[in-house]
Amino acid sequence: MLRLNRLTAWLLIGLLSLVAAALLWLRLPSVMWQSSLVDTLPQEADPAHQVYVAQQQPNEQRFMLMFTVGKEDAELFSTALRQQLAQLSQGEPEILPLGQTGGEDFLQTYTATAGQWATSGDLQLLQNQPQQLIAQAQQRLQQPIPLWMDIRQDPLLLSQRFVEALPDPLPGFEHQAPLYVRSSATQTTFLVALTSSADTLSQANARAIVARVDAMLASLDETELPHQVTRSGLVFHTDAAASQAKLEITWFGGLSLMFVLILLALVFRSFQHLVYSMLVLGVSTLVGVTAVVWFFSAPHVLTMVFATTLIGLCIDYVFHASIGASHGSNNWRHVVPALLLGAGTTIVGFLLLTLLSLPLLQQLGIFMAAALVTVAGLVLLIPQLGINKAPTASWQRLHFAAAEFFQRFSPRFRASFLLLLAVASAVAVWQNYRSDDSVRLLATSTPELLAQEQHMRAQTQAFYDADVILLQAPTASELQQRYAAVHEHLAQWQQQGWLSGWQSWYDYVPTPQQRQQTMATLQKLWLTKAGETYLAWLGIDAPEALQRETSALPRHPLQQDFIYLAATADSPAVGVIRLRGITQHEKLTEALATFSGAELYNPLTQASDALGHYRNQLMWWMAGLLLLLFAILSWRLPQANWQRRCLMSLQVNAVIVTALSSALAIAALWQPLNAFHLVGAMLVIVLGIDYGIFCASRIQRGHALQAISISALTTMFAFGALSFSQTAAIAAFGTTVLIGVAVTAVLVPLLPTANSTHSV
Amino acid sequence: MMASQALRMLLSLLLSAVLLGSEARTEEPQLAPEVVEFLQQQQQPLPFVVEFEQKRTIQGLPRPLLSSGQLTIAADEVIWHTQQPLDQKLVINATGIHSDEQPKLRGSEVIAELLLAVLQGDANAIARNFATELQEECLVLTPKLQQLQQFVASIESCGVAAIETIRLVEQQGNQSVISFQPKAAVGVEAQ
Repeated sequence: MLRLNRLTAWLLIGLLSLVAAALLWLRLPSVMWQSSLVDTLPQEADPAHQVYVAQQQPNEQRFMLMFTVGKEDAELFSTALRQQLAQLSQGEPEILPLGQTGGEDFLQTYTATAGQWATSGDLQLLQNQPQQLIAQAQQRLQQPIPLWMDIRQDPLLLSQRFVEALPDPLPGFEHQAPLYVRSSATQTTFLVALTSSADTLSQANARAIVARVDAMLASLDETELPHQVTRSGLVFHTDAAASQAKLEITWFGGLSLMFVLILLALVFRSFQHLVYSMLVLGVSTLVGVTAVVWFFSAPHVLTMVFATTLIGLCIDYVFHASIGASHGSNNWRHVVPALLLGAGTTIVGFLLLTLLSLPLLQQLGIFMAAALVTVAGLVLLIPQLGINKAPTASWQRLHFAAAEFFQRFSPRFRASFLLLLAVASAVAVWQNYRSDDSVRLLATSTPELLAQEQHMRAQTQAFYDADVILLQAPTASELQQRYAAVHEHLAQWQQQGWLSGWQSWYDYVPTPQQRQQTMATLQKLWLTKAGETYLAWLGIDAPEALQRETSALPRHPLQQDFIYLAATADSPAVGVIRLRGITQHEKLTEALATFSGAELYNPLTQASDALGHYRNQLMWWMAGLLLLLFAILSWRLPQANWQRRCLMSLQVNAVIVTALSSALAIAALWQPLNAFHLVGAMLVIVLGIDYGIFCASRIQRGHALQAISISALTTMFAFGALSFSQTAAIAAFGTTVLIGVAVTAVLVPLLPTANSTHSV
Repeated sequence: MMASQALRMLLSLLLSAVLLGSEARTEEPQLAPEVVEFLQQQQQPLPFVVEFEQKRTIQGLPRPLLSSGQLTIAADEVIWHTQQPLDQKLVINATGIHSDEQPKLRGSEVIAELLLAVLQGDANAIARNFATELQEECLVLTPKLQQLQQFVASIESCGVAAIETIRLVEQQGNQSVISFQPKAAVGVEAQ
């Protein structure tokens, strides 16, 4: 083994950090970090699904406020609200009323297509009773209502009629820009749709937006006009979740840190272990991230969430190494093989993740393998660095006594007990296993905000279900045909009670066939007597016949909300029809199956399926890791013969199985199991491997237990506190770690020692 | 002495509370006194009926479109009855513009509010919806709402003792000049 002095050891650590930082700096500019859920999906996901999900910006900055006031105060409140909204549009971050369908660019679209587009109703009149359309146009021309299109292009005012027939975005509300107003006998409701250019997924931006809205609401309170406010929008939930997280970090993080510091002060009278753990964590994270960015050009930020497991492992290795080093060089000679065996098994285990088809787990595998190589290397420098302060005498006595106590039971009894316990707990978790991978369970918000969201949805029809009809085709032209074919059936499905409403591209523009028919019918009309008479009454000539390409996608401000054209040659053109109040999923799915390139699709279901896929893959990985562990330990443990090595290996596996099973079985009592329980289980299994190997090694049992108990306690304090989190995913992780690590720490002393001469 | 000081303090507290309270409440936009006076002079007791002639000039048409009929102006609605060249009745009220054939013309609420404000001489509604300017015998109204500005450039209401003409200038260059001739001042039931 290399003989290094302290300075050389520190220089090595500095050099490693510098090299890793330089490599990271070199690579970072070409790395595209991913944050969308779509990038975590299995690689074989449908390209159309990927296109659609990629277009659903979670940081869409739209939100709504609804104010309910007494009818007598409505006038004054409306004025105050308008003033406040005007102020809201000044200052940072800018918050503006959402663009309306009557906006300038919107009207320009219909002005530009004047005389070419007609509603389906008008097209039917045009084909069957054109005289009626002519009479209505004549009447319209003597009404005191402004005209906005060129009458020479559109003598029948079809475009104006088209715009007037567009779907009402908020039925029951009158649009009095920027407000939507609805009145009853006793009260008036004002609805405001707002947007901000700030990214609402950024906690800082969300806070700034909510702070400005809160200030506006406070100003409205000062009017002393009684009113009720309802909020709706992702920004409020993001802010609430961030506030909750901040509160939890302050309390749980603070309390955990305090407990850990007290524990270390009591055990070591020193914080050198903690400081070195932080250093090891920092350097190994740097190396891990560097490895990830060199192996993957588009790593996902969620990898770092899964990689929190590294924290527990760092603490564990540093304590084992430093306590091992504190008991002299003879003891250190037994510690090193155990450390290397534990680290080697865990590293190989994490590398197995790269064989799975999930990009997130592949990235995690590389990160953890690279980071753990670094951790193992750095803890081997502990004797040279002098981080070897022994635990207090009382701590040592306590663990020698514990070791002695557990060894009083016969090896046969302990082996039988561990194996029976493993089988019993595995059966228990098998019997009580329940899982739910729905992403809805992971949503975090306050009950008050959720109630407001429900109220807003009940009061308006501005919201659509997550279920959509997804259409795909190789070209934009073919997509239009497929989209139009499905669109024509929407009204029929509504009449059959399968759904209550929809929002479709062809609510805003005519289908290619309708456009073609409108232009052809109009040209014929101007040649008839009725058409000529009308044109003579107006005193104009027939509009010039336009040779427009009706199969081209018409330009429209809402196009990007419905049609997603392929960015690359191999991606399909995708269209979406949003749905509301689906009651017959199966019938709708069956009906859509008869159309080319159409399907009923729910991205939440897909995200949930993806989480379920992660959960399943992690379970298989764990099973594979346990088999690998059994094989490696049966080969490498220091017991005298292979039978004893196999038996010891079996007992180590039994401890881990018991810990995992009991953790998952108990955690399932609070909430159904999901992928985040399995992330916690990853930490339980790798810590179990280390604890098991240290107990099975030639290290004196009392020494091994000193490190195991302090490692387990710090991990339980640090992660166990997360069990109380309001965020379901974090609580799932915390509960699993808390129970799993506690059970492991309690059971590993039952493992026989390496020097035991007893046979079973 | 103490009692009078306490009384003054109490009074000032009460006054400041009243003032703060009144400051906190939002104030309605107000018209200039001369505009209010102009409107009052034009104002006639409701309901009343007038004959009207409309001359509508539309961009692209070689000649204006003429129409005439009868207007019944009541407190809650205006009945716009065109008799020539086509018989047509429109009811304009707070909910919008309703024709014989259509229950309500989509999006007509705002234009209805505007027409009601001008025809009824409603000072509050005018102050809320328009910037105003007096030009000799005409009051020129420019819409404040951006939603309306894209359609209506201005409305001129002319006449000293009563509304004699209204000129509606649209953004696209179209304009309607509506001339009124009183028929009956009182005693008309709005339909």
